[in-house]
Amino acid sequence: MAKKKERDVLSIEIQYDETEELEALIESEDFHKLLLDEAIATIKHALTKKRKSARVCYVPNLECSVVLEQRNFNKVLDTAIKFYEQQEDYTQCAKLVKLKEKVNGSEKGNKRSN
Amino acid sequence: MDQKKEIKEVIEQILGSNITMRFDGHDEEDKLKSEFIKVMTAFEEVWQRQNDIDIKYGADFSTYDDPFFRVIEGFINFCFDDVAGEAIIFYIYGRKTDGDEINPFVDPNGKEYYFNNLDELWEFLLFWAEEMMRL
Repeated sequence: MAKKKERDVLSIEIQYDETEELEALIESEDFHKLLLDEAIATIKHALTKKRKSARVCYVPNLECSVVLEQRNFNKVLDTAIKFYEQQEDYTQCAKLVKLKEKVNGSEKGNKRSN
Repeated sequence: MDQKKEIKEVIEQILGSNITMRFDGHDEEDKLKSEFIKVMTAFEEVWQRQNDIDIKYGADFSTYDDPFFRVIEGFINFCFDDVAGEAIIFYIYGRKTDGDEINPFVDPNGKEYYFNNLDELWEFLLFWAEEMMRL
């Protein structure tokens, strides 16, 4: 049987010599957006596939994947809502609130099934 | 502080949540599998080449090549247990019919296994190694 194609995982190489370079990354709005958008997409994917974790991205220079556990999905969505509030993108905020409701529904379902 | 820990902290700060940094690199088993597939592909090509020369040009080199194949088979039997060695040799010599259909490999218990490719042969070898450990 042919295997179903998995979602492509974002690969982010993070190379630096000085800690200051890493701090610049923390301050970068583009990097925040990139990571948060990817996290949102992987949370949606995890919900569709009924998975208990989401693989957000892969860091090739560390040969590591960044994995988010289901119990933390809401925390990330809260961070994303705050980020888009600051951007005044209220349409995206509304979408994220709906996604949070889905996450909560999914968690309740899991608790019931346990 | 090591880079992995520093990067983890940065990502956690951005996402506002704990994360896990899961090692997804190639481990020793991946390397072993890759080496096995490389060697087996070469073995299969040499066998195929001998057959092709016979079919296309009518030149039968089997007598000339036989000692080389016996050396390869000897090493396989030296490195693997009887059934695993048989499966590997079967994969090259007996897996395909003349019509390119796949013959099953039959283990000593009569169970049939179909190897569509080298990945499936590798999976069988891992399975068989586990079976041997249970005995």
